[in-house]
Amino acid sequence: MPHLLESHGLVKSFGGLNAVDDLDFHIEEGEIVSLIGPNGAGKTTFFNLVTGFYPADGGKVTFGGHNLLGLSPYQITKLGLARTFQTVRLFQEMTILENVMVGQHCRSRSGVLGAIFRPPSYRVEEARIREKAEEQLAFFGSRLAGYRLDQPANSLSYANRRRLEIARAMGTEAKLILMDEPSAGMNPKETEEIASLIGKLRDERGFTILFIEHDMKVVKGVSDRVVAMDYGHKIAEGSYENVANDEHVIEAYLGRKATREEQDES
Amino acid sequence: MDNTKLKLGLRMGFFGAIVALYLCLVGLIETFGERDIITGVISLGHILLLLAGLMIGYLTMRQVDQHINPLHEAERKAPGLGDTAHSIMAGIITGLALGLLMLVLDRLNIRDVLVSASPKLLELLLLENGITPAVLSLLPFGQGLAAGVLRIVVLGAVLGLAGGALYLLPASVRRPLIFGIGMVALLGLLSDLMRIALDQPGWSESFYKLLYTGRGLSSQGAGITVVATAAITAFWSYIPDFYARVISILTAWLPPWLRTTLAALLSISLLLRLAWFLGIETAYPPTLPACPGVTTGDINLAQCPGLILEGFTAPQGSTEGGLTSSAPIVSAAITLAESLMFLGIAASIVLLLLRAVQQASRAGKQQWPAPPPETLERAKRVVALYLGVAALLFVPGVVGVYPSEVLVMVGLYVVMGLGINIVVGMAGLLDLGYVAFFAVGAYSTALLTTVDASVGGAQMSFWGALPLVVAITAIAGLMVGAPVLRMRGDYLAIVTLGFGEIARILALSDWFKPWLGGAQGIIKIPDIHLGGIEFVGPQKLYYLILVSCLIAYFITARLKGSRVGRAWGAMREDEQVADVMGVNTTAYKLLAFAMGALIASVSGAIFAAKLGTIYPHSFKVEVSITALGLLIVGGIGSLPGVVVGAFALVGLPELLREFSEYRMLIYGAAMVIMMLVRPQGLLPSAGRGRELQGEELGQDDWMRMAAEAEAAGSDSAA
Repeated sequence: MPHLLESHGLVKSFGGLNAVDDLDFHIEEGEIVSLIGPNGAGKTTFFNLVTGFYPADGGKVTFGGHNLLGLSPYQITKLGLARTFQTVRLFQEMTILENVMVGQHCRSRSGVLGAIFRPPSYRVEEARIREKAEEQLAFFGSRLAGYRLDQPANSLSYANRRRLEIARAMGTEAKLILMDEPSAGMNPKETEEIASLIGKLRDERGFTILFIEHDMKVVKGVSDRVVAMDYGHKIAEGSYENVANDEHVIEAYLGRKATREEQDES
Repeated sequence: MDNTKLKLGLRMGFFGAIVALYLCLVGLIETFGERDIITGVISLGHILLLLAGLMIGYLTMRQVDQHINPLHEAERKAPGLGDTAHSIMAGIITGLALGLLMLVLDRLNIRDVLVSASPKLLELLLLENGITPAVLSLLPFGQGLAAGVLRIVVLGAVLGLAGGALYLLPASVRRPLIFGIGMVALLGLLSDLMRIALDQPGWSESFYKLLYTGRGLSSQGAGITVVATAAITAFWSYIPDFYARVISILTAWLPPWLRTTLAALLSISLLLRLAWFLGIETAYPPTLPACPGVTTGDINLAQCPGLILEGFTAPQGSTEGGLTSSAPIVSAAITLAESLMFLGIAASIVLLLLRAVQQASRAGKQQWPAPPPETLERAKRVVALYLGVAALLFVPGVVGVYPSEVLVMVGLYVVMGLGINIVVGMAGLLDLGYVAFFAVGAYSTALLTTVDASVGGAQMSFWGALPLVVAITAIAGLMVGAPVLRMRGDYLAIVTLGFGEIARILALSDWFKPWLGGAQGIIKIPDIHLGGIEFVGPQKLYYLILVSCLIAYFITARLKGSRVGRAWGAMREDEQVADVMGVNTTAYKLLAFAMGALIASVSGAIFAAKLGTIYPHSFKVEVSITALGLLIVGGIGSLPGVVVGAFALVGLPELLREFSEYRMLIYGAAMVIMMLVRPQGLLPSAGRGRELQGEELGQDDWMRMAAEAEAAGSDSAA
């Protein structure tokens, strides 16, 4: 059986720098995988390649058997791949509910004429979009639900904006959600919540999740598998313990231990 | 004395001096001085000066207040009366500057440099003419230049004090006052319009004579206006309650069949009146349908429908009717419908009175039985709808030809504004070349319908051509949209600006002259007919425009809340993210351009048929700027804002043609003030205002508001 998402020899270079260099990666359906690595390792670039933000310079990416390279972001989303952003990027002036309803865009089809004349098919579809969106928001308990739905997104607190971004990604009915540092900027309690949320997303909603994370507690807590990157390469892969103790990983984060000879020279 | 406050006062004083001198030297005061607001008492020029003084006093006080209360603290220290000293100082400085100007005007001839520095200006600043002796006696300095200078300085001080005091007044007093004064200025300004609208035999004439004399308001008219406006403003918040109360009584006590019958009769008679007005009228004077049953005194209630509809039947439009033969039938039908309607109203009144007596004699506990909330809500909406429709239908007949013409212009811009609102407001694509679509609409209509043999057009009817025009313009929208797909923001604005100009210059060019007629344009575009109705003259075109506005409004409102509108909104907020969330941004950009163009084309088509001749000169970049400007004034993305913006930017300048020299100056100043004071527009769409104001509602605020709302809800439920 093929992997849900797979990349082989993926390359992306900016000028002379290979941000992603010959990357082989895969994730199974139902898996939670975290992607770690120091700043500039190419993690976000990898996300951008997979979601069609950037065109790749070489290699192959498939999702459920479909080749993703060359597709536009909206086509990739339609195939069942959604993402969140490192810096929260909500539709600020739209309401909370509308933000999530936009996620349903690729699962609905009514157009201008439908909107103007509102035939029964339109109304059924609109009701469904709304229902699904409310369902996603209900996942976050009282934080995003209830009479808060018609508030503009910019009225939310930072942590709730992050939650809304996840809800919006859920709204696309994706199979795989890519999260770019979901716990960035959150306090320890909220970070803990995010970790359990990621677990719940898989266990209750059946999403496959790939996330970039710097907080090792989160990584340790929920990942089935950890992939470490540096300089665009995959440097380690496996369980948290294996990766955390891998010497390449330690080196990438902390630098190489100086050898006797080098010390003597200095 | 507080040094900072002193500095504030000085700074505002100099600011006021600059504004006042500018107003004088640019010629505004002089031009406006020729226009009486209250005849024999005060001219518009004087009002402007007075307002400048008041504003300076008011703003100084506000600055002082902000100085005393630097942050939003829980306990505010209210500025006291003593702080008005700074306002007075600012006023005096402004007055001194004007005094100095008067001396300069008297001694030196600076007209070579500043054309407006005329003896007339000096005369105005002396305040000897125009203002009545009664007002002058308050500032008793006699005649002559020295007295005049002293007077204007004292006036500055008084105005500064008044402005400062105005700030200190509670809002419940200040608002009625400001609105009252504002209404006087507005009614005075619009005296010509009011004369056209009201100076007709009947009740309206006496009303006009009560308020106006000469070109301005009479003193008593001004008094009545201030008092009435202040009263309405003060009780404004009670009006919805009052309305709900009235409707509640009506729905509770009138049997449903009577309500339905009345509504039906009203609809029928409105429609018949409309049909009559639209060209099935016969000769003037029309035989007013007699209204049976009610005959009293001088104010002839017998003619009530006729009187209310007086304008409707007046021969201001064209006198040659379309279907003359059917006129007596229509007239008879109107008589019948309205007689029945008035019988029904009379019956309802009797019924209500009976009920009231019954209720009083019973001395029951519950005075007015409340109808179920849904029925009440529905009734409120229906009545509001009827009032709105009736008002919209009556307007052109009541106000006359020229105001109708203005309304037609406003309507054309409303349609355009709604179209550009799709592109700019909803989809976030800044289009400065929108006039191109208006032009394509107008030119394609002209080409398809003109009867000018030299052009060799299709000579179609307007209605036959319209679908083609719409399709052509939508394709033009796609053609403009396609090359600019990758552009955003400023770049898009510049490119579209270019497209707009290209369209005009192409139409002007020799290259296209054989088809588009070059600078002479296309002539002999026939009028619009529909059935027996000939849409000639502004009063009839008004209805056509009204229908187009309603359709455009309906379409844009429907789109706004739909899947398409959400996709546009997402694209406006963040194009990349919209793409990642599954919106095909390429397609939706093109769709926005096409929809915007489509709506503009209708405006263009009516414009072409209205003028009968079109030429490139009508499609200058100003049209785009105005269409965009009305969005900004009304509030980008807000649909009612478009209507308000069109009235403000198109309607007002049309009505105030005599000041057209200063039109652009006022326009620019209004825009700047608008951006400073209310960047979100007059009627902002939800969500946008908050972001522009930079007031992001914090979570805590939000929780508190929700809790308060809940508490209020449970209170009212209890």
